[in-house]
Amino acid sequence: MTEEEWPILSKSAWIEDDTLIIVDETKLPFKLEYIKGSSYHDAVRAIKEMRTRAAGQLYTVLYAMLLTARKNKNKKPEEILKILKEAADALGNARPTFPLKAISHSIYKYALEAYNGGKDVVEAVEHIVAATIKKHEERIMKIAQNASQLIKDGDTVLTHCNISGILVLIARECRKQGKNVKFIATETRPYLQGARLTAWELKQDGFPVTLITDNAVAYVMWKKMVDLVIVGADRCALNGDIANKIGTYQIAMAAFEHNVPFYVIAWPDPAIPTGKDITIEERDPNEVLYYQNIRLAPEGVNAYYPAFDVTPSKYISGIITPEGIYSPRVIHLYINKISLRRFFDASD
Amino acid sequence: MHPIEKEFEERYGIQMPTLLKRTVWYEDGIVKMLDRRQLPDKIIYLELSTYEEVAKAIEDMAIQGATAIARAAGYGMVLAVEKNMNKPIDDFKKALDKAAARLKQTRPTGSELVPLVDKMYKMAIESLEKGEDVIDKMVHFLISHWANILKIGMLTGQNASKLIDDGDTVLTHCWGGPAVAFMLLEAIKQGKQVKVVNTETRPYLQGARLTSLTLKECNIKSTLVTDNMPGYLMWKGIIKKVFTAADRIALDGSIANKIGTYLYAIAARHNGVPFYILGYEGPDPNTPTINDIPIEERNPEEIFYIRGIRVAPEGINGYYPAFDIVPPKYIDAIITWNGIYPPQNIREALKQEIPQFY
Repeated sequence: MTEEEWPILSKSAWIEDDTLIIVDETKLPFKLEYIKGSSYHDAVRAIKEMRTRAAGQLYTVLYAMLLTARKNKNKKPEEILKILKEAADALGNARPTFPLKAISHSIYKYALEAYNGGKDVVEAVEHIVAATIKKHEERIMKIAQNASQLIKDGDTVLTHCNISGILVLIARECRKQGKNVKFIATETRPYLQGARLTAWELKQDGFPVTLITDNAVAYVMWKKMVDLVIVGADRCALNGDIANKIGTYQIAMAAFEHNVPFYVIAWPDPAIPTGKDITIEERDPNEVLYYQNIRLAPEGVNAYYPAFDVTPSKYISGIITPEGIYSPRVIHLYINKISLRRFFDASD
Repeated sequence: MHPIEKEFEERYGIQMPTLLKRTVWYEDGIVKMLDRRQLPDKIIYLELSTYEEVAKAIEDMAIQGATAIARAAGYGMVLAVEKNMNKPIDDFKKALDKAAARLKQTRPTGSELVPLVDKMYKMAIESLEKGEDVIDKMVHFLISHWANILKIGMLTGQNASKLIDDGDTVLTHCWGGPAVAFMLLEAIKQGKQVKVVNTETRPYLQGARLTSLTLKECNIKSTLVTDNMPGYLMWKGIIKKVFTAADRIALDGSIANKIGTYLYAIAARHNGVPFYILGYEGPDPNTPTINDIPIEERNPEEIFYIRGIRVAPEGINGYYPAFDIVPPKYIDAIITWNGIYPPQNIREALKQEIPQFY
């Protein structure tokens, strides 16, 4: 893999010959397989089944909207808009914690505005999707550059779950700056995104990574093996609370107790005042009770599977954004700089 | 049926759960050991005919829990004695030294292993010199050891049950042994409603497999969560108390237990949830402070698999500390067979000698 290529998990869905291609993250690291979709319904299914996740969802939603527009381009504009609205609703409701709805509806609204302005609906979707992706990628690069400033030569970064290639970009930035950086990745049960994705993508790029189970985080901090924590976020509230993969909160508490800085890659959602306002997805408990087809606990035992948790802002040392690193206590000011709406609306 | 099994059935009206029964014993020249790695799907007994096989089974996690491990090593000593008892005394001692050293090396963190192996060693020499039936004596001692530990677990559980309030949901990690079952059964006997959330406990899933099984056998409802969920459940206000066991308690009130225990102690403190240790016999008199607790680091390969299925890519590193240490400041109380102690006063638990119940 050359330095110029994007890490595969940072760009894990695209369109090829009118087919939506999505990297099936559930098959990694043993097989690099793709889901081929012919409509937005396939994209909704891939998101629901967690075959794509985190930033993969952004690409999946954007390209599913684009595919929907292209497939219906011979229809009347009113009809195309109706179908786009249906697609935006279905994609927006696939999972609750990541702001899918904001993404899908920003595309729909742009198409609607184009129609009201007498412009071609499909062309508008082509434009807004391309522009949104370009902007997203510029922002991801800025985030990686900003995050790399937090890392000193020889540091070990602990991370949880998977941040869709951003960690690889951060590590590459460090490498460019001549800094050695090591990683500790939690395995991240039950889907093992840490073991399967984070460990895999860092290793692919040649960065040293050590896997631990989710219960070992406090101990490795106690042993002074961790210099800082960097995690992503599925949502960030205006008061600086964040929601991320289940387990993030207890890692934050452990970091707090050991004076290990805890950084989150996020941008605030103006619609969410506090962490308590974030909807936490609760998934099928069978996903905890079984690994592949093996039942882990006796029959008759119940399980509970909240997929995310909320980390209150007091545990967060800084929020890493494309524009810089903000204290969570002032993150609401960031909204004035760049809002979520503007983030997903590249028309400006 | 051993009297304690009878006592159990009469007191709680249920059969004794699989893991409270004897899971390792001696029979006609071999040691039988319930293979806990196969639970709950299969009940399989390993048949071990040398102390080396016993040592290997301990190292390979066929048995777990500090006292059960110690007892298994004791049975390893029985096999070593049987094999060498007709040798001249010097050769016998040499062979026994070797066996004891090997068995003591199997797992470093639990505090019961070394004293029990030493005790078996002494017992073997003394009883051989006296011309007693040495195998019979050792085996009887180990059966009493099991029954006594069970009784200590019962008393610990009875003391701990006083800390449970009606309607509580308690969190436990790994499999904390008989005291967990006794605590819950006693609380229920007192008319309290109690629910349990238990962590699966990676990588060996002792929580999912052993705790869930035992609670099910006790007719107690449990909800399984992954090891990254307790913090969130505390934040939601679901968890009212945390109870775990300890593989070793130091005289300064710090404890070592299954990796993750420290993480939950921190989470509990930050959420105002009381954190309790089921301390059975109490502290190890030979472990003065937190710095004297050895932490076993196991082969990282073990974390790359779940129930035999590889989960991590090839070519990466892993790190697998099997235990962690909770400093006393995070512990609200340590509950032993003879009382409930603030961790700083845990030495007081040693003032009273443990009776031989059986």
